[in-house]
Amino acid sequence: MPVPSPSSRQSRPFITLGVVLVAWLLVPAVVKRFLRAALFEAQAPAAVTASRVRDLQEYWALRTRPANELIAAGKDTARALAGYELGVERLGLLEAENARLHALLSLPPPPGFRQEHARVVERDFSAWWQQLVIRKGADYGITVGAPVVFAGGVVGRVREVRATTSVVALLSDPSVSLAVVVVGPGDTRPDPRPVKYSGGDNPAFGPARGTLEFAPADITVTPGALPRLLTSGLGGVFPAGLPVGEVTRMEPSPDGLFQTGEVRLNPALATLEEVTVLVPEAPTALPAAP
Amino acid sequence: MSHASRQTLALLLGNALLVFLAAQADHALAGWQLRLWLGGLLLAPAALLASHRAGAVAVFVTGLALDARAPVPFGTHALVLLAAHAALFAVRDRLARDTPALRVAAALMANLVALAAFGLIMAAAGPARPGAGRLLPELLISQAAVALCATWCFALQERLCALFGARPGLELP
Amino acid sequence: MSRSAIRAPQGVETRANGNHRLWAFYPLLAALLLTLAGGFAWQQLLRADLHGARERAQGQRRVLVPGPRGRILDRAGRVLAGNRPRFAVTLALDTLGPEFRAEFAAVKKNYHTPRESPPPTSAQLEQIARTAVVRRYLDQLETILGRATEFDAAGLQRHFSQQLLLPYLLMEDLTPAEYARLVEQLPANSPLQVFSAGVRDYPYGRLAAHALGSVGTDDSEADDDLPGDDLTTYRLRGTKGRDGLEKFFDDRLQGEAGFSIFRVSPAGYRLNPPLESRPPARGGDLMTSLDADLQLAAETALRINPDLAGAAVALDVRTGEVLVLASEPGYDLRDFSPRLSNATRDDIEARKAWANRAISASGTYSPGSTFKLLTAIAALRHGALDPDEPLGDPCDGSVLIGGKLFKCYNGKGHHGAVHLDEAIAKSCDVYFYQAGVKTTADNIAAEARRFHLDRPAGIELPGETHRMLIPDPAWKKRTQHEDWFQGDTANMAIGQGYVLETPLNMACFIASLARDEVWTQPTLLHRADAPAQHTERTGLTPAQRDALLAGMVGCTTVGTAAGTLNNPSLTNYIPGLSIAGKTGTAQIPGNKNAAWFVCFAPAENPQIAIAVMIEGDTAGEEVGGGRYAAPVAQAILKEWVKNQPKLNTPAPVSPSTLSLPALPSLTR
Repeated sequence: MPVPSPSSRQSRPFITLGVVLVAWLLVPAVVKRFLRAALFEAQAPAAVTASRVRDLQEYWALRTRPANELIAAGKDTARALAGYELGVERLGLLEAENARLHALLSLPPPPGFRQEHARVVERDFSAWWQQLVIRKGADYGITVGAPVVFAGGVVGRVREVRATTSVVALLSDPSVSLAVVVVGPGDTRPDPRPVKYSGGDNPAFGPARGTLEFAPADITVTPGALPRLLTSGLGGVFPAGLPVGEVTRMEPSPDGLFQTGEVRLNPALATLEEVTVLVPEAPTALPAAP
Repeated sequence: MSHASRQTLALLLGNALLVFLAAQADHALAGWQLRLWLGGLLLAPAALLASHRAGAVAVFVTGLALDARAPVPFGTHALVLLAAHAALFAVRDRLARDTPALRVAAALMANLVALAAFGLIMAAAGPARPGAGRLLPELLISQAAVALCATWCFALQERLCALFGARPGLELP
Repeated sequence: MSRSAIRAPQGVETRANGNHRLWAFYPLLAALLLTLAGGFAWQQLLRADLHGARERAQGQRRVLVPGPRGRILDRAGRVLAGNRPRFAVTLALDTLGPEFRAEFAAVKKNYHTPRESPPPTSAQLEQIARTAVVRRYLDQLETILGRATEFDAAGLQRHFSQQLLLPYLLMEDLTPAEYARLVEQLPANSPLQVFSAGVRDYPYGRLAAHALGSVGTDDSEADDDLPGDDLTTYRLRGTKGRDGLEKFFDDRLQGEAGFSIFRVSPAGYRLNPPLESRPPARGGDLMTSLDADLQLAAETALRINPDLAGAAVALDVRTGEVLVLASEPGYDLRDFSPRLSNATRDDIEARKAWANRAISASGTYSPGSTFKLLTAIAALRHGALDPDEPLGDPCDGSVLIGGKLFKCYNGKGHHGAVHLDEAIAKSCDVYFYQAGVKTTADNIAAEARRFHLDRPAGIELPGETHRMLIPDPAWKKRTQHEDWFQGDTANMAIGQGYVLETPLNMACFIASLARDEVWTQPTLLHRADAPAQHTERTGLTPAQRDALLAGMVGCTTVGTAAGTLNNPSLTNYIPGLSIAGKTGTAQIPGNKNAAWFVCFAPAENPQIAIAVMIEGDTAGEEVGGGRYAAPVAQAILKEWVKNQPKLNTPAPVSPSTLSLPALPSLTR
């Protein structure tokens, strides 16, 4: 076997690199898409298994709790549930009334959503993207672009749907934008002007952050009483009134027309175990995912 | 099965384990808004122990697997890791590859270079512009993790190669 | 020799001894190398700057973004002209290079079938490709917003060839809901971007339109001192004040432009991120002396007779600050942004609404009887009349001057023998004909010039006319080549004839008179610590001044304005406020009248001075100052007293509360 000369030995890796780079640019997009899906699905079982193991871990951890504690927790839950049941009854009446009024004014009914609860398989909070993998996918009819929420408000939007899993872009992901409205600390009704929220820089060890753009110049922030952000419902993706975060800082833009703001998101977003996907009931396709 | 294929398989298996473990670590670290970048660990054993072809294939496929899970243009990780692999492979004959300290140093260096290259690509492409408050801590813990795990990782890859009957370090065209 | 050189290992010897023929080449080689090195040095060291500049000029472009204009505020800080964001969607054509190329290739491939003859040129194909790509983005937009919009292919080509680096406007004037849909549904990296620009916003609508003035787009290629002025520059069009305060204070209101310097590819497409950039900044605010409430009251009152054009000016007597500068008919500045439609322009044209009648030639008329105040001052100062004695012939409706009969136009009956105060209150022409003749035209003219009535007031607005005129015999000789007759003096004495004044000048005159001084410099700028103005005293004795003021108060209580100004029967009656005023009705060309009213209040402690002028529109119709102009002043005063806590408590109205002497001749 001929021994390659040292110089050719050193240049060979780079030649290979160049060849691979050129070849990669020529590979058709279809092949790449297929490869990507295949590689994702190949890794999914391991991740899902790990998440199931974590669930099991949690289950056994709960099993070690004293029975009294569990009974107390059960009682608390039952009380909360009773309260909620009352609320649900009132909500039903209101919904009927709402539907009647809509019919009276011959307005189209507001878009409805089917709720899909899903466990979180994996959290992937990079400096460049922030996403979750959840344990429901095309098998449960999840659609790309569907809004994702949890008890504390908005989680994000579905970015990718795979066979049994989906990828959710978090609120703090820089590619996620929302039309939000601002509620002053003492106000019950939000300011009607929509403001652009987008995910931002997420510093280490801190709660995730977002930014507000094109905020009206007359919104003020006083420490101790921070304005809250709710979804506006105008954007056509999220229903109205879901909490998004709190405005911690506002800075007038140099042109004096607007302010830019800093938004603190719910710290619970970083430790989510379960989320709810709002799958639109109307057959109209949701707009492209972020 | 050729030696090269066996080496590739062995390296891929080791990397798959590493990627899986890193994902679990990231899941736990997410609460602190941190994420590990362990590219150096994925490519250093391939560059220092295996033949060029076996190493390059293993590194490229590992990179594609990372790309499949990230919202980046498909191939970004793969090409960045392959470039770092090529650089490390080109200088490996001048290094005393058997000394553990040198292996750790090589893995750290490769990790730093790959992370920097990846960061530059992302900064040029995407809307995200993370600040130093995010990048510096992440770099520090990533380097610490690489330093801690490098020796174990090299040993794992050597064992796997042995297991697959592929002599590590063997030069194959 | 050469053999030994080959054999011998000592190369030194070989070179030293052999190849003599090569010697000839060494100098040549050296010379060539030197030339090369010299060339490099010349190009790289000496001409480095030149090449650097060329590289910069070829590879870099600069985009200038104008800053929003500063706001115009009223004296209380209320925004009269602010900025309102306007959302639009733009397409960054300069980032679409690869997409255009791909589309071009696709289009070209489709045309490869030789059916088409002749085949389209490359430029045509490029155009087709561009249009297709932009159309695709527009479709995406229309899907999200659910509304259709027009596509201007020619405009796209123009934009592409001239302003590639500037965002191409696809859709403007988005509603908040449309804006929200785009925010949520456009991908983050889309070349479609929601873009906002500030346009002028007028929270008070058509208020003070003439004073504020409109803004238009600025097409000038103004020099700037921003970095990169040697580069090819694209500018988003800024704004420029077209008239009014916007024009006069354009430099102050003008925002500071921001800029970005981009590196561009050889084809002109932008390479991100910018090398250097600075955001635009808003221009300075302008706090005017106008009072939005008073201005509104004045404009509303002027519009009571919608057919009659007019103007009103109110000044702060102490500082000369302009509180009201109103002119009707007006226009709505909101119609000007983003641009004025031809229909609106024609409508403004047809209503003759462009002119600011308070200061421009359109509002310059003979001041009529309001000028009698000046005649009175001139006569008093020159000893031509004594306030305690009636003057010359009693008024029996007319008087013969210079062989001509001059009628007394005011009062249906005869005024009889009147004193100065009653002559002012009832505006007796006969009295002032005689006073004028006795004082002489030169003396009246000199007095008027002392009161600056012969020149523009110098307010901070463009378009103040220079047509105000104080005639005298020398002027008439010079311009008309005629002698000055006594009748001219008589006409001048009652503010007719050649005398011309703007409402602003009359307001300054009455404000000066209120301070017993000769001049008030009006200003539209408000300063919280504005100093009181002081100029030369009028030179009237206290007794003379008292008689003059008594006549002016009498004008509003029992005289020509008595029924229409601060009469208890009016709905906007102001209890306890004494007003010193003078009406005037001037004949203007076309057998029409201009109604004047000037006043200051409170009479005993003057704070606000007002001049109102209303043009009659029908020939032969009597448009009197008392009937038409005085109610406008009343409306302004009614609004003004609301912010005067001392005056708000109605005081019992009795002559004894006035420091002025009661009108002796009127009570006689």
